[in-house]
Amino acid sequence: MNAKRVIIAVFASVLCGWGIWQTARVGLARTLVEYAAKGRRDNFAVGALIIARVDDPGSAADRAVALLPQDAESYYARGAVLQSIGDYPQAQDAFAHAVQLRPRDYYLWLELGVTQDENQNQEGALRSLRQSVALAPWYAQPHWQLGNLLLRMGQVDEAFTQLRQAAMGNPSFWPNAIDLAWGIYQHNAGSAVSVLHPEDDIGRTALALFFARNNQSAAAIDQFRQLRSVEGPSRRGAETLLDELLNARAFTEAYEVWTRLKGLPPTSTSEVRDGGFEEAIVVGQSGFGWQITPGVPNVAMSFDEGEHQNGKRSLRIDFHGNSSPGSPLLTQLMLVKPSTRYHVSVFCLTKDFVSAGDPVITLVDASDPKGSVLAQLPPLHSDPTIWHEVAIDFITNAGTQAIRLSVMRQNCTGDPCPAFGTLWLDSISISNLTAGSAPK
Amino acid sequence: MIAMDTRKGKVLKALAIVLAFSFAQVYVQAGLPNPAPGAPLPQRVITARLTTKNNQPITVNGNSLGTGGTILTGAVIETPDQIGATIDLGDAGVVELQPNSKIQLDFDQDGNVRVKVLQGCVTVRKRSNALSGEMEIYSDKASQKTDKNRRTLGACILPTGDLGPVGSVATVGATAGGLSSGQVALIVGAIGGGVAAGAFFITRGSNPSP
Repeated sequence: MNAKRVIIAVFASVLCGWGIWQTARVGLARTLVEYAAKGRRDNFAVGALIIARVDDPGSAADRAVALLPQDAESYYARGAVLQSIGDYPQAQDAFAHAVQLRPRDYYLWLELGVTQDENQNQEGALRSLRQSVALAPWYAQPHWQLGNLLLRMGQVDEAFTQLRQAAMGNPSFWPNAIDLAWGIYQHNAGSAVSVLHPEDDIGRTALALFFARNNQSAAAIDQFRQLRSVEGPSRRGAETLLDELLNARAFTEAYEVWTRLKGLPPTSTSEVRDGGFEEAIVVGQSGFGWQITPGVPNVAMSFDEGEHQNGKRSLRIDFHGNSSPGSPLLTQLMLVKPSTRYHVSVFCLTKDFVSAGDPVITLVDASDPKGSVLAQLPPLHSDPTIWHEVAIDFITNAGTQAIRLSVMRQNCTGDPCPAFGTLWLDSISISNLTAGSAPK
Repeated sequence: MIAMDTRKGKVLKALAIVLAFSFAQVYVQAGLPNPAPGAPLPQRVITARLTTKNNQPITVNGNSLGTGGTILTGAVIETPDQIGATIDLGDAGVVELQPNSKIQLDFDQDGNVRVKVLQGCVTVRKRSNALSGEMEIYSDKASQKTDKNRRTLGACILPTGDLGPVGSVATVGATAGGLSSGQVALIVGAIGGGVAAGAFFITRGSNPSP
C-alpha cells in the first residue's frame, strides 16, 4: 500500500515538475515576447532576459521562438521586432509563420498584410488584408488598412467603401477618410459626400466641420440639416460647427445652426435680439445673442430692475477707473441685407459719468475681413433721470451679410483713459428703412 | 397526447426556422454595402504610404494617422516627440521625418518631390532613376536638391530659417520604458500550484503521527 502511494506521489511530482517546467517556459517565452514586441521593461522582464541570456529585442524574440516553436505569439514578436528595424522581408516571413500557426486571428493577417505592403508586395497585402476583413468584418482597422491599400492601388470606389466602413466602425477615422476623399476628388464637396455618404450624426458632423473649415459653407449646412439631433453627443459638434462657420464669415449658415441649437425658428430677419436685456446673457457662448467681453478691468455689468426705459429692466454698466477704451464691452452679431438702409436706435441714461472717452455704439461690417465701420452712434449721454434716445441711419455695403454692434468707449487723446460713473442701456433696435418700414 | 407533442414540435421547429431566417435577414441587411455613390471618377492621383515608428500615430493635415495611412500631395505632416515617420513615394523615393518635425510635402507623377521644412529635420532618398523628377528640401530661405551624384539629402531648419545638416537641431528625446504585469502571475501561480499539488499527492492518505 505504501509502495503504491510512493509511486503515485513520485509520478505526481514528476507530472507537476513537468507542468512547472512547461509553464516556466511559456512564461519566459511570453515575457520575452512582451519585452521584444510590446516594450516591457520591468524587473521581471529584466530577469527573463538574464535567464534567457539575451539582451536585445531581436535575440529575445528569437529565443521566444526557440522556446515555443509552435506559438504564433513568438513569431508575431519576431515579426514586430523586425518590422520596427525596417527588415520587412524577414518580418513578413515571421508574420506568415504566425498566420500559419493561428490562421483565424484577424490581427496576424492584418500585420502580415501591412508588412507585405511595406515590402512592396501589394498583391500579397491585398489577399492578407481581405482575409483580415473576412475574419473581423466589424472591426475598423482591417477595413482602414484595406481601404488605404486599395486607394494606393487605384481602386478608388472599393477603397472608399472600405474607408467608409472603417469610419462607421471607428469615428476617429472620419477626419482622415474625409481628407482623402477631399484630395482624391479635387476638393469637390459633392463627390466627397457621394463616396462617403455618412448615415449617422457623427459622420455628418465630421463632414460638416471639414467643409466649414474649407470654406464650403453650403455643403456644411447641408450636412448639418441632415442631423437627426443636436442634443447629447452631437451638441458639441454643432457648437464647434457654429464657431467654424462664424470664423469663415458664413453668417447665414451660422445663424441657422445657432437657431437650431437655441430651439428658435430659423427666420433670418434683421433684428437686435433681446434689445431690452430682459433675458439672461451666457458669457462665452458664441452666436447671435449678446456677447459680454469677460475680464475688462474696472468695468462691471449687471441687470438693473430699478431703472428701465421699457420692459422690466435695463443693462447697467459701472465704470470704476482705467480701462482700454477701444475694447468692446458688449457686442451682438446680426444678419442684415447688403446695400440696404437701416435705422439703429438705443435709449441710454447716464449718472455721474466722467471720462475723456465717451461711451458709443459702433456698427462694423462683419463680412469685411478688415472690419470696416459702417456707422457710429453719437456719444451715449443723457440728463440725470431722463432716458435719452440716440439713433443713426446707415447703409450696408454690397457684400455685407452681417454687422456687429459694439458698445465701447471713444479713444482718449492720451493714455491712461479712465472712466467713472454709470451708464444704463435699454431698447436697442434696428429697422430696415429700404423696405419702407418705419423706424421702431 | 403523442399527436399533440408532434404538433407542438412542428410548431416549435417552424418558429425556430422563422426566427433563424429573421436573424439571417437582419445580418444580411446590416452587412450589405451601400448603394453605388455615383460620384464622378477622380483623376489618377499619386499617393504615398506612411510608416511610423512602432505604428504610433503622427499628425497629417491636423488629423491623427498611423502606419498604412495614405498621404496625398500638399499634406502637412508633423511628428511628435520620439516618433519618426517614413513616407514611401514609390519609385520617386522616400522621405524620412525625424521626431518633433513638421513638413509640407508636395509630389507629382514625374517624381518631383518638394519638402518644405517647417520644423525639425528631414531626409530624402531618391529610389531610382525611373522617374525624371528630383527631390528638393527647402525653407523660406534655402533649398537643396538631389542630382545624379547625390541621391540622399538631409537637412534641419535652423532658427534663422536656413537649412543645416541633420543633427544640427535636437529632435530626438529620451526613450521611455514601459511596464506591464505579463506572466508574473502565471508563473508564480503555476509554481505555487505545482508545489501545492505535489504536497497534496505526497501527503494524501497518510495521517500525521501524533
